[in-house]
Order: sequence, then C-alpha cells, then structure tokens
Amino acid sequence: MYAWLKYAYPKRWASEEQCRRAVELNKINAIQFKEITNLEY
Amino acid sequence: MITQNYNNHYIRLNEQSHIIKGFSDAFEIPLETDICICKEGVRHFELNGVVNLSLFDFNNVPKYKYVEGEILETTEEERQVYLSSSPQPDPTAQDIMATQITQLMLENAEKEDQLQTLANQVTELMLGGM
Repeated sequence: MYAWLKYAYPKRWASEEQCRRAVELNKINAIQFKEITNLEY
Repeated sequence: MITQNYNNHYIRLNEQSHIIKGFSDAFEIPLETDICICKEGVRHFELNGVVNLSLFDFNNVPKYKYVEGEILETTEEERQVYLSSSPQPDPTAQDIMATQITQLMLENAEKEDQLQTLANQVTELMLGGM
C-alpha cells in the first residue's frame, strides 16, 4: 500500500485522512506517512 | 570571416517568483516584464546547460524560482504549497478510477483486519474449550 499511496497522494488520488487510516490499519508506518504527506503523524 | 549570432534567453515569473516560462528571442518577442538571463545564448532556450529543459514537474508545479538574480530549485515544501493552492481541474476518468482504487484498498485492509480479529477470537475460543 505504501507504494500506491506514495504515488497517489501528490496526485490527490489519496487524502491525508486515508493515509492516516492506512497507519491505523498497519499498512504503512508513521515514518512512511511523513514521507508520503510531509506531515507528522 | 564567420560571424556568430547570439540570442537572448528570457524567463517569465509568476507572482511567487516561480519560473513559468523560458524562451529564446529567436522564437518569441519578450514582454517588458520578462527577465533576460543570458545575452549570448544559443538559438534554443538553455538552463543549467540543458536545452529546452522542462520547467515543471510531473504535477505541473514549477521546478525553479528566481531569487535576487539567482535561479534556484523550488523546495519540496514550496511545491506542496503551490500544489495545494492551485485550482484543480475537473477530475478525469483516470482520476476517478485511481481514487476508487485507494478507497477499495483501504476497505480491503479494513476487512482483512476484521477477519484477523475474528480468526483470533475463534482460535481463543477453541483453545479455551480444549
């Protein structure tokens, strides 16, 4: 899922909220969340 | 005697000093507000030694800015700000499908999570009953 979100987020195909949900579901970790969104988890 | 013809190279900025256009006067007459960055250029616009370099990234965000006479690369943070403040065009069919993929991946992950929880509960019940 990390690869998809990394690709999709800048194109607005995934939202910040969806990335946060992916962390909750253990599909990505907090470090990856920051890499994708440039935001702190 | 061979004479060398030079061209002037210009850049055009937006309000945030991002470079939104680069061209040679061989092909276009500059506006008064355009900035000449090279007076002895080749026929085609050149920046950092690259002819007709793309000034935008894959998200159509400017890659360069002009600060106090210097051409610098825009930072990742600046690109994110530009992207988030830009008006977005209507979503294409590809955008809609890609958004659905994200949604389906998350729904699938949620179901996997629920399945795992159920499997754990059943396992605990079975072990507890033995």
